[in-house]
Amino acid sequence: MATFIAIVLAAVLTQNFITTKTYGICPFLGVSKDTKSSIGMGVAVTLVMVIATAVTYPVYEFVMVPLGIEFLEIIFFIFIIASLVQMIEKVIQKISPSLYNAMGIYLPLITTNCAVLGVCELVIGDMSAILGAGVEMNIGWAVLYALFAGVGFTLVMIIMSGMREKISCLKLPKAVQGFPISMVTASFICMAFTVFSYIA
Amino acid sequence: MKNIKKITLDGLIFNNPTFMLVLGTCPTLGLISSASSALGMGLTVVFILTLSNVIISALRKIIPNEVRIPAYIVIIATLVTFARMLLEKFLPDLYSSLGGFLALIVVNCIILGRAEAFANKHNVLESAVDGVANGLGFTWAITVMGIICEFFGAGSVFGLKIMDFSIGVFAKPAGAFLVYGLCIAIFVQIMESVQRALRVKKAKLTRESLLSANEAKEVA
Amino acid sequence: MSFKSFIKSASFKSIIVLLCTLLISGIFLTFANALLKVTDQEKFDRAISKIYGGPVETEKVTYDSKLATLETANILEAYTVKSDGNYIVKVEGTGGFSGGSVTCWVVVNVANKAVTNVGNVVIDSNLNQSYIGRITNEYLASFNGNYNANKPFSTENGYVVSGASFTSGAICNAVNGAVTFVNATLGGGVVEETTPYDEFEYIQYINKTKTTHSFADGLMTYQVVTKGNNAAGAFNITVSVGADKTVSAIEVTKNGSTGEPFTSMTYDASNLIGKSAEEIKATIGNLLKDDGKYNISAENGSGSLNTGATESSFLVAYSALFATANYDKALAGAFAYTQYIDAATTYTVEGDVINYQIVTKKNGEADKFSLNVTVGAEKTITAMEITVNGSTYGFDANMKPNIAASYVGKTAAEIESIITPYLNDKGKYKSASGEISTGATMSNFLVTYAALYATANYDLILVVGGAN
Repeated sequence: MATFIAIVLAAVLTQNFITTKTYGICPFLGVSKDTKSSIGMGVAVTLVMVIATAVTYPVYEFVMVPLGIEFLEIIFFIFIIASLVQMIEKVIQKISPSLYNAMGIYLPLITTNCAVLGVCELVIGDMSAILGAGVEMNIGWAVLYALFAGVGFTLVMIIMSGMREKISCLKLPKAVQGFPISMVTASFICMAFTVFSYIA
Repeated sequence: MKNIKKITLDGLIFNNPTFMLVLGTCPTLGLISSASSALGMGLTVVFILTLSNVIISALRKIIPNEVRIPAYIVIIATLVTFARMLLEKFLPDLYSSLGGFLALIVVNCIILGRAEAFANKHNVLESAVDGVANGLGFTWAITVMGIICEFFGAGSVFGLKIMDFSIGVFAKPAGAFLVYGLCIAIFVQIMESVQRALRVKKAKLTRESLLSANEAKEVA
Repeated sequence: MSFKSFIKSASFKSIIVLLCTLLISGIFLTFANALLKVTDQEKFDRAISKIYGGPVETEKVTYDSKLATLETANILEAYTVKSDGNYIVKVEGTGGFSGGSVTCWVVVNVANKAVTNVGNVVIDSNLNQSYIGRITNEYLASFNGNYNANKPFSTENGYVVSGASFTSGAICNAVNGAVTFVNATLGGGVVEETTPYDEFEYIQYINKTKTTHSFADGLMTYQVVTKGNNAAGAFNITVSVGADKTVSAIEVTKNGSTGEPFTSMTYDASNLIGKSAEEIKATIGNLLKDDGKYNISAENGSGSLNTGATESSFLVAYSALFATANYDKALAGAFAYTQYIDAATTYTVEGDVINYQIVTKKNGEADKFSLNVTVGAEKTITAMEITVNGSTYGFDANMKPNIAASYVGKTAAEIESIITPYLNDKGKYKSASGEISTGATMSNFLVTYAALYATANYDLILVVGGAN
């Protein structure tokens, strides 16, 4: 139970993918203009992160490590992720066109996304800082971590979209419009999130 | 030759991947808290980008269009894995300071972007120059921001402590976002005025040549 | 689609190209991996070189696990540097904040089979040291080059970071532990084992490591193993001493004389029954010199021990003298759970009720506690109250509520089961989770320990009788 809470808190708050680790910035800056697309993107990213981790972690632990081919992980992982995304897109398109319209269109954008590859790389590494001493990593914790990392990502995206909607009403000098003001806004969100580091 | 000059200037300044195109933002934001890791990341990207451009350009006639993206990704992933091995063996300090971002170079938009937009349409020499130019463009941008963040965040530059006063926020992602955003604004402003000056100059030259042509006509 | 047209088609070409790319990549990387792989040994060498301050080749040291467990430190790994023989030791120093520890790598400089100085100290990890962030590099560097054989590193002589005094103490313990270990290893790998008899009188001819004693039914019974005395070999003698400090029983279980006729000439031990220490000393007479050694020139005297196997007889009487003279000390040693009880503790016995005025020792941040405990005929606590609360920094508010009252009616066994999770194999406090883990676990521990001391020693005190 303690591990569960530790993982949730770390993934969503203290080690948030956007505000602490700065993974997944491209969709964050690109798709956070309005809340609807933010949620869609967030859900898509979370889904891909969970499924990718669920597949790459066992492949790494039970196929690559025993065979001693860990050095090929980047190639394996990116291949697995790219194929998975294709499959997921087709599946969603088939079973629910409305869902596809809501979030399926973002899927190709997140094939080459730091967040997805990042979480796959993280869970095969040293997670003792998050899990606590004496807790072994297994696929359950890995998938859990991926799920809540995605939740944290979505959370920050939604916050950002809210702020950007407000900003779009402002009259700003031309030099600051677009990326600069988004970055400054993101910076404030990061500052706000540093409060959570006191939980640890 | 003029082509090479244009490619170089585009990569370094006019189409700077970090400030103008805002690509490859993840490692940028993650590593500018320290100037030395910023520089290290930049140089690694130069290495990988140049090689990737060269290889992809060399193979551009062989790789069919349908599988070009997967093929490019495999090539880039191989280069990244190779770079990772080299760093771990010979530069372990840089290896540990880059952390997870080293593996994430494989999904860096800059590298795939240049492969898609340039390397598969131009010859090897031009692709190589493009790779070096864009890589160096990324490097100088990220290093400048790294120096700023490290100076304000820790009072040091490349690890040499210069002053005792430091504002902690600059060592965190919050500060990185701030500096990055402001740098984009400043750089874009500078670029716009440079472009405007160039356009004015060009218009002036055109006008002068038209006028002198007219005069020549009138005289004739 | 026919096979031939399939081969010519774009999709086939795509697949081939992709497979080729993968194959070439795989081969290239496998090659590169074989050339560039950083082995575990290399990673270890790098880490050690970083600790040492320069590139080194090391050799692992194997050592007796007895050497590895010291009073306030545990040796985890040890390496010698091939070029200069210096030691690099991974040591865990205990006594840290919240009962935790700090694990450090300590470089110990060595020359001519002796420790000359301490080198770099690098922190590896820690257990429960919330204030480890306050330990600066300057502090760790302060150990380097400042070894003093007569003055171990201590928070009391300046090796302390304010606000992290317990963590600093653990680091000092680690460094001192590393030095002690290296000293012991260099000196032949023998660490003087402490025995209960180190402070006893008349131990010159007693084998301290093999002798044992126990208290039962009002008698202190020793299984004495003596040392040799000139021609006489080691004797095994069982001696029982009663509360009146005279010999109540004595038997030679192994005669160490070097064969007949000496074995039959050995003094009859039953002559010593009923004698006190003074009387036995008088019997030994001038066979015992003032410096505690056997007086060989008195062998031809005329005392009761001059039997013709005087050297053997001496050993028999000496054992009895040892047993009677040290009765009080042995009794003190027979008390259980004394590690955290201060010598200022007193008790009075009224009938079958014992009233204790217990003063505990410190436990980490918890200072000494004073408690009044009464144990009744049923060997349970009948009354208990804290008279001086040793909690520091206001932690007394976090103690288990009414903890003293909660032990009323409990037996030693019940209290023992509460405290056992918090005791390590050496009987010292260790961090654990259990009934007394509140925000002031160390204070709770001391109170519980006092209760256990009072109940566990009830029988012993009653038999011994009187007040102390």
